[in-house]
Amino acid sequence: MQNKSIGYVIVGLALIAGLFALLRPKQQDKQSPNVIPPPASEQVVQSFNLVIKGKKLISGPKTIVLKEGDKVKITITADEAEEWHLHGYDKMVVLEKDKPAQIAFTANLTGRFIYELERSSTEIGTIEVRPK
Amino acid sequence: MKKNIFILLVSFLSLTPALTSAHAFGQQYILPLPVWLYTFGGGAAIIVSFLLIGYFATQPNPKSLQACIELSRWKFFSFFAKPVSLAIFKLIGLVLFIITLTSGIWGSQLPSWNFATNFFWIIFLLGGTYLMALVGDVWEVVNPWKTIALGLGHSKVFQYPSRLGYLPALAFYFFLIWLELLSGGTGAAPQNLSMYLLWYTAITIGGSSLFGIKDWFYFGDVFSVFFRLISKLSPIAYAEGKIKLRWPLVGLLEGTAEHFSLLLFIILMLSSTAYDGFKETFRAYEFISALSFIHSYQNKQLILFFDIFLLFLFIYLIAIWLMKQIVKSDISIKDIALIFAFSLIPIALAYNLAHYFTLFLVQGQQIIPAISDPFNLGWNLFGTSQYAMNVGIMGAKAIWQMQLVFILVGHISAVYIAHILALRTFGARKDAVLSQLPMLAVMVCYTMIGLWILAQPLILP
Repeated sequence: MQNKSIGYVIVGLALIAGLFALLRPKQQDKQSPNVIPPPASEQVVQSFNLVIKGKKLISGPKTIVLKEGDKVKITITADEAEEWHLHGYDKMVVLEKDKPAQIAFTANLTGRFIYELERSSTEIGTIEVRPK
Repeated sequence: MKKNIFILLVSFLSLTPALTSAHAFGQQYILPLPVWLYTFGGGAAIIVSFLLIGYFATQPNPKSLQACIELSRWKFFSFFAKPVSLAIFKLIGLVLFIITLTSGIWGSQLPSWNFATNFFWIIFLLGGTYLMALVGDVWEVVNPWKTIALGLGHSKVFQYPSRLGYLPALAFYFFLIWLELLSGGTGAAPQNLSMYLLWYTAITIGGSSLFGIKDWFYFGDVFSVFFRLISKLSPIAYAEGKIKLRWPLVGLLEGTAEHFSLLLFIILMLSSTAYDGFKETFRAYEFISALSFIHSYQNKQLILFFDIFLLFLFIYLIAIWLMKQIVKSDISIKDIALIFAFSLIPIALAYNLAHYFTLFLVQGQQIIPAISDPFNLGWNLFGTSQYAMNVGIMGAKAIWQMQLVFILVGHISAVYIAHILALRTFGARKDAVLSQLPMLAVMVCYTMIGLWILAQPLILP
């Protein structure tokens, strides 16, 4: 009787492992070990331009999608004096009226982070950092 | 036409502040589950379900489920069952209750900084749930309302009308969920929270002095009912001053839901978490936008909430009806529905963990600085008032894996318990195993709904 239950557990685990292996997306970087990633300093910096008018995003992606470890540079222009605040990362940029302000950071935290205009607490968009 | 545009405008205007306030307290940094992981989870749930059916078809007598070890034989554990220890636990519960009440009134009025809001919504409601699932129903001892009621002395004017069942607890549970998810941030305001807690104290003390402490806390106190249901999963049980170690989940086989209101309570546990996950997705946004004939955003939310509740109840009752048809049982549909009600509790906890565990880990850290300065007076009682939250405590990948494991383990537990209940109710015949197919379909359905919600694209601010 005991053997039978163990048999069921083993069959179950084998089937689940098989399904997992079948569905798992192929990881490109692991398959091609010949390609050496560029050193951190030469890594491409992803740039985004956000224009905010009347507390709304009028130009630039509403969702900025990044991969873990990406370097990012965001330029923000707003039509009023405000503070741009990215949740989770807790990055803050002071915005002057119609004057582009910049922020650069490395996306080390994975997840979905909302950015807002801090003073009026208006949520503008999100930054999604996908895991490697 | 003009009217439609007007309604759209009004609904849009009323939508914006509500969406903003939804993020004011306890932000989740969760990414939707990738589609392949979602497919895998669903496939695994179905494979496991059929293996379990096969197992029960050939081995119909799960034995030795009653086995337990008395832990209080050992000094270390018996210490916890001593009257002195119990009194200390009660005192801790009472002190935390008083700090929560007072810090809600006089502390910082920022929900994410305040001690009361963090303690009540995150540490107590979420952490308490996880604690009871691990160590059993300790709420029975620390419940500050019960301590106060006991301190005031026993009194009983009326016999509790048993046909009411758990209706008072169900009503309070709905109110709790309304405060948390439907009130547009009312429950997140610290002063409101304290005010509601004071009201609840008055009602609870009133109820327990009218109907007796035992009955009121059994049928009327929402927290007692909630934690008692959750602690049925725990491997630790308390009885007659003894601490016992048992198989996890077997608590679900002890007794059945004795009143339909308890089944509704359990369905509410499932559907409210599902609603909270769903409401921030695109699909929910589409649904809400389609309700253009209703003006207030909160009423639209309420409709969505009840639709999800009815969907969960409907799926369950349909399966019960099918089951009765297959077995040709004499037991009424209502009674069968009650017999299987507890088998849904593992899925309810799984939903809760999959949806809220990261919130507990991240927002829960805010209690560390809050406890050092509960009244916003610049105190630093424990030297932790400058503690900064670590948002990256769990990466997106780890969160996905955790969600999947919680949902799958909840699913397997539910299917397992439902089968044992079926064997007990309909006997160990082969067709009794067949009768389990509808129940299995329910479990797969709930599991897929849970995974589906986790995989939905989220709404933009």
